[in-house]
Amino acid sequence: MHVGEILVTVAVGFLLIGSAGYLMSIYNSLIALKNNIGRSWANIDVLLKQRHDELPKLVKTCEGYMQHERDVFNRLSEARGALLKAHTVPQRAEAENMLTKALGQFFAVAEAYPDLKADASFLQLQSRISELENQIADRREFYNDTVTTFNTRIQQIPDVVVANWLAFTREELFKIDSADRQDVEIRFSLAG
Amino acid sequence: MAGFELPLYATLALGAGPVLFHRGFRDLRVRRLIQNTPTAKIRSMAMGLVEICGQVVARSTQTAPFSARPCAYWELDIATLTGRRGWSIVHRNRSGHPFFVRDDTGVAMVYPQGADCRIGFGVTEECVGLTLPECYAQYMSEQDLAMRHVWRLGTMRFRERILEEGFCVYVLGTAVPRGRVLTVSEGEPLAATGTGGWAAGRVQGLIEDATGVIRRGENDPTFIISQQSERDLTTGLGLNAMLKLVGGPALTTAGLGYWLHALASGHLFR
Repeated sequence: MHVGEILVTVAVGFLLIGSAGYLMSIYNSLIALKNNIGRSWANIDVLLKQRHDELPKLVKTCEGYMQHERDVFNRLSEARGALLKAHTVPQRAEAENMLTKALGQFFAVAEAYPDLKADASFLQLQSRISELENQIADRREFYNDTVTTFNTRIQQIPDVVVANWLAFTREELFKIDSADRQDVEIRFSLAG
Repeated sequence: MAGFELPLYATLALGAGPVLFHRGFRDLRVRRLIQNTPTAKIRSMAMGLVEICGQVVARSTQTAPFSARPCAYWELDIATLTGRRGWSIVHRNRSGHPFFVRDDTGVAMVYPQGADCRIGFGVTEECVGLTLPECYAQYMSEQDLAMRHVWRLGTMRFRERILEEGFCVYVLGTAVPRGRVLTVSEGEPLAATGTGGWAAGRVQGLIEDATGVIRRGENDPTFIISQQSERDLTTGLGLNAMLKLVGGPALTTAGLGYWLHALASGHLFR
């Protein structure tokens, strides 16, 4: 074999290995990104579960004080019910938005009960739920960042080739309900 | 002597090419990892691989060995000049003390051991070994570096990089839960870190507030502490990867070409 031929073979070998390696790195990174989406959602789920666990305690603490506010309790209960039925990410997101809204209204109504506001358990639960909601908001942002990165990558060249081969499709964002951006409407029921 | 240089360089190129090629892919992987990992808020960061940005808060007061500036973390290296204007690093050291990173939502503790620190060198000085400034001579003496007298016969280079309180840093590493510590003798552990008085309370508060500890992970060893922004970091890594992926094969081909040509013509070392 001639020296020139050997060198061309080596250069072509590097080119082939390089191309294969590059494709492999795209494949691996898309798979990692896809798994990151699952992980980000699971990380939100942990907090949502913690928030759900606080709800019965909240209801129990407030029941004695807010006996005439069946409406807000019902909304909380409906939201929890919707969560149990939700299975996909968009359904869960919708149910969670409903619960967030119901909680917002619940705390707004609770403002009208000074005795309840002075209750140590209520204050602790309110603070805990508020902290959890802040964390959920952060993780929702993180989840949406991950999904956006994934959605952008699978549409860009050269990643689109590997994404099509893997049949990757766009993932859904965890959107905030437009009603959540509006102020909470407070309506006090009259006792009796 | 010149006759040995070309075969030597050709052999080095032949060996270095695949290594560079491999490192190019490694840089590419790290670049992808940085791009794929969104920046988390410290308050809600999940355990596992995380990326955070924030300001450095010192855990204990330290003094950088060369510049004598107060800092949260320092790293240094000493090099000696070899034949063809190349520096050979003969000593490396780092403070290794943990520090905190704070963003607008919370605080995390960072254990910098094993991190790839991409911080600019605050001090870079080349000196003739026999007339070394006091700070360098004193450091070598304190460290009891066995070869220091030999190194001082030639030209030496001293470099130091530090992270001062308030610096903005980018950290990509593995977050683990903060360890629960039972304080047996109050005050003494903090005093041992060089922190005392009112500062002890501040540090204790920060430790209690820390959401987690970021360190080099066991499963994913990627751990970067950088003063560059994420964009600059990925651009730099992309360029590095490109250079290595192209340069590696080019070097190998050149080295191999030389040897094949030399063997074919039977004129070795000419």
